[in-house]
Amino acid sequence: MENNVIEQSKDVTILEILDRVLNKGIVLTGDLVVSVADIDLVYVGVKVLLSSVETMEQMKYGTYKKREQEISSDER
Amino acid sequence: MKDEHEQNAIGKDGTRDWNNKDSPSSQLGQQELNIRDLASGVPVSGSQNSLSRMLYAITVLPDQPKPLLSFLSTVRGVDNSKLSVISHNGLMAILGGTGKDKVVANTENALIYATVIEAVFRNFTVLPVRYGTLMDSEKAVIALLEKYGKAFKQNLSRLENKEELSLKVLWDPQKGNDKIRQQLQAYRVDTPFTGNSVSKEYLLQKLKEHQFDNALQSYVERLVDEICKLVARFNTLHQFKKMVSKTIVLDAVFLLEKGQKKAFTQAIEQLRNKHESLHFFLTGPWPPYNFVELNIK
Repeated sequence: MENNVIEQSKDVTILEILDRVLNKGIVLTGDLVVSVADIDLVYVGVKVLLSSVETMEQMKYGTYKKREQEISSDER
Repeated sequence: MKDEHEQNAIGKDGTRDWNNKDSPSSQLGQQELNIRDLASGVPVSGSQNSLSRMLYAITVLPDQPKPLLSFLSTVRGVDNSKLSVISHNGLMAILGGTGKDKVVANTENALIYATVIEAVFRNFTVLPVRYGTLMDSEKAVIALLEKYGKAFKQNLSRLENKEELSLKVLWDPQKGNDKIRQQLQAYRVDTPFTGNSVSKEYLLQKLKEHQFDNALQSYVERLVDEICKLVARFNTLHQFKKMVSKTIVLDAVFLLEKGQKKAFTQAIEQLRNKHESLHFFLTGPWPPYNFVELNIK
């Protein structure tokens, strides 16, 4: 179980980031907004493991090779 | 911040005076930030007045905006786009180009988006905006800053010098449930049911389930109380979600003064040492995603 918890913890980290970005913060609705991405599908393919924001930055600046399958709102 | 100064910079209609020499943004030069593209109304893509820009966050327009703007000019957003800003009413909206009228919601983009907000948050108070919010024009952004300026400022003031920490408490569901059942055994009361009928078995099963749920709820409540007492000295705002899943016993967020993470972590370590069967997963500091109190429609 110990390993499972650790693995789950890593998954939790990425989910925490996604949960905040996609579900929290200011939500705008109405005619000011052209479109709002449907957030549900983004959880498909959450496999990247992160331990810190620094890791995110490493990913952003070059070490991030694995690209999740894009799910555009056009496809829905 | 001086409202009068900003009005001069922005202009009464909020769209025309971006080239005003007194404007904080105009002092930066065109190369530092592509703010003039927005200011001049030059369409980023598509039809005139089209922005197709994703709104990342709202922050205060600093008295000396150059450091923030210079910093933003070094950051890239989703689709490797340059960031830009629109300021109005003492506020600053941070945007990134998409060139599209719809955005891709995938993990990579969401993480880049989070990185931008995180980067701004490190040095400035920020109100994160939910990913996927596209603004169709400069006027729309200014209208937003105008209409909800008071609420934005109240939130920015309330969240100034604050950061969010997240605590998730996990357990092995099997071991956790066994522990609760052991506690139930210790306080077992005689069943009120008699006989050997099928209905008795059913009622007994339901009674056990009910007792288990109550015991589990009590356990989690005690844990919440314990955490609250332990972190009371930090004078936090907090939110708790209980039994989010079979594995996640607690999902909590705390709003702290910046710089208290170390002491807060030590407090949680005390808790961890006391509850060896639980796994405490503390992350942060985060921008205050969970503590923005705005309802915009």
